[in-house]
Amino acid sequence: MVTYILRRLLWSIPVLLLASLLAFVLVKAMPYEPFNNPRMAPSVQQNLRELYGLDKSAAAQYKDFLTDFVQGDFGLSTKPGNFPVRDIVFDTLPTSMLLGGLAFAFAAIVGISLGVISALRHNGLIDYAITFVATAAFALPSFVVATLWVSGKVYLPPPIGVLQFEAPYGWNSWWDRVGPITVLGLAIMPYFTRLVRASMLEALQQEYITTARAKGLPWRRTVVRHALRNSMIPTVTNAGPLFAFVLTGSFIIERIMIVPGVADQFIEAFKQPIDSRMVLATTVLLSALIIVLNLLVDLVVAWLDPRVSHD
Amino acid sequence: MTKPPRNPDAAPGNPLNEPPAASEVADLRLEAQRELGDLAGNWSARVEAFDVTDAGGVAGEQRSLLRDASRRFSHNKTAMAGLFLLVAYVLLAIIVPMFGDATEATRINYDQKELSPSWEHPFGTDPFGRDLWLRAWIGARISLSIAFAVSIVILAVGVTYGSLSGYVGGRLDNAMMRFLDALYGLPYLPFAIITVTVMKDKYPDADPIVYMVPALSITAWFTSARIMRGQMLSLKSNDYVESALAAGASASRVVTRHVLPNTIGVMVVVIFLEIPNAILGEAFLSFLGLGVQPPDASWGVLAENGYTYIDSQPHLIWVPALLIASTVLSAIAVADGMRDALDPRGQVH
Repeated sequence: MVTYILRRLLWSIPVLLLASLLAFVLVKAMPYEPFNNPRMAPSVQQNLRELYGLDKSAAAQYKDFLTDFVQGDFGLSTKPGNFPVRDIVFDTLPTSMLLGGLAFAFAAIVGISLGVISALRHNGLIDYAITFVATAAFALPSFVVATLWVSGKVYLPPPIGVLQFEAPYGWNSWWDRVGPITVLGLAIMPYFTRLVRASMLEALQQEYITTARAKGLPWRRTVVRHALRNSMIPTVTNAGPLFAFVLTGSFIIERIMIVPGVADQFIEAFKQPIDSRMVLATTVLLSALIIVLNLLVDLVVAWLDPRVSHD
Repeated sequence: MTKPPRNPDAAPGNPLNEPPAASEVADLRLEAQRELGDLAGNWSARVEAFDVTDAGGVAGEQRSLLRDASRRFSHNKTAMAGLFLLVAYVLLAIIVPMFGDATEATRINYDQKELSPSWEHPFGTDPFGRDLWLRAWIGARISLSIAFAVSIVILAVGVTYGSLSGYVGGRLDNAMMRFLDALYGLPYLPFAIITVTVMKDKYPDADPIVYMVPALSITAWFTSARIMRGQMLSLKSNDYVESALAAGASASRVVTRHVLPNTIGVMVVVIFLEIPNAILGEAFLSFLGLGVQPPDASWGVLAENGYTYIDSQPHLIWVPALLIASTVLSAIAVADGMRDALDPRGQVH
């Protein structure tokens, strides 16, 4: 097990290098001339280029970026103020991570419970209702859900009409935070529900369930200890790509529901003139985050599923 | 002479101990021949289908499988409804802008602004007096063509990568799969946005499809590559592949003529599974102001416009939102229906 963890840790290094290289190449291909300002004296332009290392070859720039990055220096933003990218990111990313983490937890708890209930009531009314909610939550883009939430309108059939209520959103108090967390959670929930429902249905048909029942194990215990545990494996395996999805979703929800996360800074960086340092640092940092989370997923799967070989 | 009953259990005494009469032998032989003939007929059909000599490809077997699948598919009401809706949307996207006055979609006309849905303007008009019905179907042209193009690009890359990796196998397969594992770590949104920016800079006046398709496919082809590799691995060990190789067919011929035609069903499923992601991805990027740019009106752009007027004119966001949602649902229903139709026992991995 220890060698397995070590090997997975070592493997994440080339993966991260690849992600950073791809990000670097793409960023280099972007229109990026922040210092071509005709009102600047050529010598000033030259000095700025040297300050940002833009006068060097691409390979040297990549090497500089890597050495600075691993030391926690993400360079200076080229936007007004020229703040260190590190400060911008560390001011905003924790908020995004908190939002993403809580939404993920909410989605996991609600989604897995709904999936289990759905599977246990297979083809019943509750199953159809849950499937309908999960499908609707998947198909409606999260920005629409967020917009409707913020507008605080509930559309009901004609005799009742439109109800207006005060929906929480923003990030100042914990009550406000309920809004973004719920909406982002709702966007992720269907993935859990679908996965858990499918794998639970499969698990419930296995012979070990019959065996456990035949041995006199109570139904509740059979479901929790045998069916649920086994159906968690595909769910956890698929959690990796879901982290990337949480990031995507949180970008849009942060903008609509006014959460001071990294999304605004990141999207701002693409407005002309493009802040390539910010784009590069954030992209590599997000890749690193996903790689670490995927590593955790693999470790949890290894722990859940004794059949996975650790050699 | 009376014919002994065929069933030995029903016979008085044991007919198997008696030597059979000549006529009976002839009878049995006829029957056996009929059965064998059936078998042989089947067998030759199968051999033809697998086609050692490369004459007709796998067309025989493929056609009957597809006919079977399409029969099962047409009995699936959800999938048929989804397919019907998608076809309807494609037709409306083609026809409505042809008959509408194109200037109606962009011309600002405050005399008819903020109209509620009516016969003349089925979806109403926006705060600039533009007809939303026309704009929705012009938007459908952009959104749907982007979605179909993205799925086809993803499939093409996935097929190439997956078949190379799966067919060659060994070290190359290992390296390619490891590389794919590494790519799985890439966050979708930053890379999509960077790609849009790069492409827009390279081709400033191009159609939205030129920059949206690369952006939406760059981190989206991994799953289709995995699926195609899995297909390749399971199909390449079939006897007909070996016999084609033994008959002297080249590797590329075996892949393109014998293996890939057998994955057409899976390919179609992959296409319909990617459409929802592409539709939602386009809407996401356009909503953030980083995708399709006004005056081009994709569904994402329409939703972004509607977002501003959620309080005064909620239908401006409802129309694109429901168009997006119903397209996504239909594509999922079609993909699920096709998967079930092609493999009634279980799902395609």
